[in-house]
Amino acid sequence: MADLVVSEANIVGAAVLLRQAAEPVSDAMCIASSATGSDAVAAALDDVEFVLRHVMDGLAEVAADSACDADGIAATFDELDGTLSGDLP
Amino acid sequence: MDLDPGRGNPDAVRDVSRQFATRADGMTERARAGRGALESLAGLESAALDALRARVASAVDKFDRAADAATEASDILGGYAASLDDIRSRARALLDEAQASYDRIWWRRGQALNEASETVTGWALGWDDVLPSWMYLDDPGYLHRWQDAIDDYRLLRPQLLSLQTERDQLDSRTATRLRGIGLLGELKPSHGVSGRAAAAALWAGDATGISAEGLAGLEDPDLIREVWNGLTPEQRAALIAAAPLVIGNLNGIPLRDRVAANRINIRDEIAARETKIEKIEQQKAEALRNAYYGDDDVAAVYDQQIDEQQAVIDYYQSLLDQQVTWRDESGVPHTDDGARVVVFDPRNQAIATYQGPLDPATGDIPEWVRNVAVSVPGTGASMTDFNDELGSHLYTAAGKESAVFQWAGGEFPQNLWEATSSSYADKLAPELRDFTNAIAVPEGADLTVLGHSYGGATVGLAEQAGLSADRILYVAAAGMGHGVDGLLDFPLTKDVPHYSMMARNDLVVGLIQGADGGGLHGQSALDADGVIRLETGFVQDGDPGSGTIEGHNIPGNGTIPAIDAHSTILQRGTGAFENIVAVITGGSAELYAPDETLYVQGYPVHASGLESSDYTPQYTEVE
Repeated sequence: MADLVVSEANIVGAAVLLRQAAEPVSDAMCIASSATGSDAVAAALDDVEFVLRHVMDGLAEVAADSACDADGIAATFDELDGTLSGDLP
Repeated sequence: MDLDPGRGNPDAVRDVSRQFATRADGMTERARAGRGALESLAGLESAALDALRARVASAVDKFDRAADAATEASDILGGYAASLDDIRSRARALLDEAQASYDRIWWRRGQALNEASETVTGWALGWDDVLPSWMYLDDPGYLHRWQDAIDDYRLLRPQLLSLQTERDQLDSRTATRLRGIGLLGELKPSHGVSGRAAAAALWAGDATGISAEGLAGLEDPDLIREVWNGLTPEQRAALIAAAPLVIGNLNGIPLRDRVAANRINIRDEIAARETKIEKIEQQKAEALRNAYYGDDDVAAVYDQQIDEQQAVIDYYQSLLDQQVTWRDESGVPHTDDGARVVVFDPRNQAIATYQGPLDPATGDIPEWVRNVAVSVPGTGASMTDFNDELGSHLYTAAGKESAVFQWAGGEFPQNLWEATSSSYADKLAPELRDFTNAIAVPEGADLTVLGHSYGGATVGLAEQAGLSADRILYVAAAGMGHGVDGLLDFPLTKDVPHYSMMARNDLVVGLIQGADGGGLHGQSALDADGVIRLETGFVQDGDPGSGTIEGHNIPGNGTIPAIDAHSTILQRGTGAFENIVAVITGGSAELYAPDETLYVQGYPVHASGLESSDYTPQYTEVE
């Protein structure tokens, strides 16, 4: 039989931290090519910015989903615990 | 001097560098929060928490690596700004010196020429010209000093050019370093903005927001399949509904979902053509109102257009209404509604159908299927009148452990004149390669690709372009592809078994068989090194009494046997058809019985090997 060691408080705490990780890092940057004076550098910068922007958005989504999952696990264990203890019908 | 090596704004670059550094800090904070979450979960045990921990740990790692990438970008830009400062400073000094030097030219010129002389001769002198000494009546020292000023100015240009070169190299190095940031190299290959966004999101572990265009931009069909299979059924349904033309034609999407998407595409195309008919009806009514005479003639033009549209609508509707029978692993037949259309793209005149079972879990070819075939038709194949009967017959004959695609994934020549051009095959070949290479062939199953007539040349060019298969069969092929000399031209299939067949008297392609790549459609498959020629045999396989393919005249079509033989070769039950099935299933195929040359009363007479008195079928085990 699989082990089951849970602490609802810890899971909820984890969810809080995961929601912090899900906060947006910063707004998108608009890098004018006149800043660098070089089309090649500006294009490479745009590429880096594009990728980092989508990576950050993706990681925020993963963190948010994980926070939801943690909340869900905590709620499920809470309900299960209540049922087993006879508190709930 | 119109160069400006110092262009740009180092302060703005430093500002961008700081923004990247701020991002790095932000992501490091988030990684810290993630670690905190992992610590909170430490010591807790459950399957659900284990899965959650794995995801969070992966995200923490990715936050750290994204932070590193942002830090690297920040450092690169910081160094770039410092170098820009230096170059700007030197460029400013050089340009100031050049300006002063230029001013000195005009000062010396002014010293040498008085106002009157400037008026008389100055118009003919460029900025770097000096009045000829024989024209100058004053002290020649003025002319020397004037020329020296011009020479001094000219010496500055190479210095400026050198500084410009230094700047160009700095820019090139910086762009290369930015593109070399590790994170960018870790992304899966993709194309287009959507593809790149999808690749970045997937790297982060987030597939939820990927669009159909993003999926299509990922390029690798295995990755596309992996991402697709990771989506929920609701997410897949949403993508199919939002972009059926993309999903229905995207290599890597499971067959079941391509079929679902293409049902939508077929209905959409029917609706579009019905709308077109309505417009033609309106035009016809308008034309009849304005006609002075000959109503029937006026109407006939529009009626023909309507009939053409309706014919296509009827055909497309037949695809939706078709009943497809397949057998499961136990051999039990099942019938489904609707053809399995796995390619349907009116933009590219592309269509392909699938005959065989589908795994209910994966939506692709089941693991127990042993023989997969892709059949490519020839001249005349068209998506508005696509005949996938051959695919159906081959599947039925090859047995329940088979799966057959009938593929016409682009524009085919519609007549023999068009078929003399390899341009259609040139465009079709990479499409065939990509479609075939993306098929999820079950482990241990064999994939055969066969092409008939122009389709044979298309198969050859697809092989040359990198098609991968376990067996190749050229059926009355026009050739192995324009420019193809033989098997050695095929990077991935040169070592796999190749077979060919053609009726001895085939007039459609018989006269264009090439001796090498320079032939109309390349080397003939009949006698290329390493290609095994198979027999086309009798109209009823194994029954000499039924007559040879060469002698068979299809009743009622008005063409001679030598023309009919080109298509009789695909008829069910013929020796040729059975040989095709043998190649697909890895059975025994009859080898070509070589013709003989007999001498009758001194004259050579060509006799078919099948009609030889000692003809005995010889077989080869298909590898």
